[in-house]
Amino acid sequence: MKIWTSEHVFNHSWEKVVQAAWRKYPNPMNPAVIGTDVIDRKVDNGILQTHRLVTSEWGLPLWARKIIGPSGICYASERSEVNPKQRKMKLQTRNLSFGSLVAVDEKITYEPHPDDSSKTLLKQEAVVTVQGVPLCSYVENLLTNNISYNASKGRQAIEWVIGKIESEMTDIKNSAMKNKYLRSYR
Amino acid sequence: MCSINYPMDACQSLKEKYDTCFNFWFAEKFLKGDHNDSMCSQLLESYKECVQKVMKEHNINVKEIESNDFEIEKTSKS
Repeated sequence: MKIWTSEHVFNHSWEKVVQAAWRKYPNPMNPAVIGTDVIDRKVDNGILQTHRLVTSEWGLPLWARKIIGPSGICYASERSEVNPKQRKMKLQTRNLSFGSLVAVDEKITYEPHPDDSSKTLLKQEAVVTVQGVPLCSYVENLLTNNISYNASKGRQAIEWVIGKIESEMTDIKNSAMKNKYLRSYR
Repeated sequence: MCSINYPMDACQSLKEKYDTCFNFWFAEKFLKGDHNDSMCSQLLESYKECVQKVMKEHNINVKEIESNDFEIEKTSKS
């Protein structure tokens, strides 16, 4: 068992970050994640509850594939809640593909920074458990390093999506201005 | 549970239509206090149907691994 935790501050409002969180994939920083599909989604008591299937491509080394199974397309189950009143988003993900051998549980929360509510605090936690596998701690370290690497890529991805949303907004504004301009000269 | 092709490609166009609706609804309605989710509900139904069909065809089972300790903690509804 191996626990990995991390914190990060985004210089963006909570509203902006959680919008980007939904649109995080696909992104060029985490090419392994190739799909996020909604299994179920509802609003309950003002809280948005979502269950998604996350599809990724695991590029594991050959010896690991021999122990864990073939690499290729693998799945994870992600459950999340967005509470706009408390300004809190929580996500919890567990891999489905390695069966009972390897469990990777990941928890993420996005909240306004306690000292500056115009910023957003990301808290991330991952627990890796490998059972009945020789070189147990070696496999755990390998997976933990993978998570750590992907997490830093994930933070870059959020910034990338925010940039994309902002440029979309500028495009909408520009085309609205252009239309207004054209109309006034018609 | 691993395969070579990406099965969810079958739902791609339904996903794109639903996601466009959801992204607008989430930013412009939900985050601004309007919790009525009927706006995208029909698009969600057709998309969900497709996803569930593909999951069944490819034996992707999300229920079997979910023990009680995996339940997301409930946010206090204050």
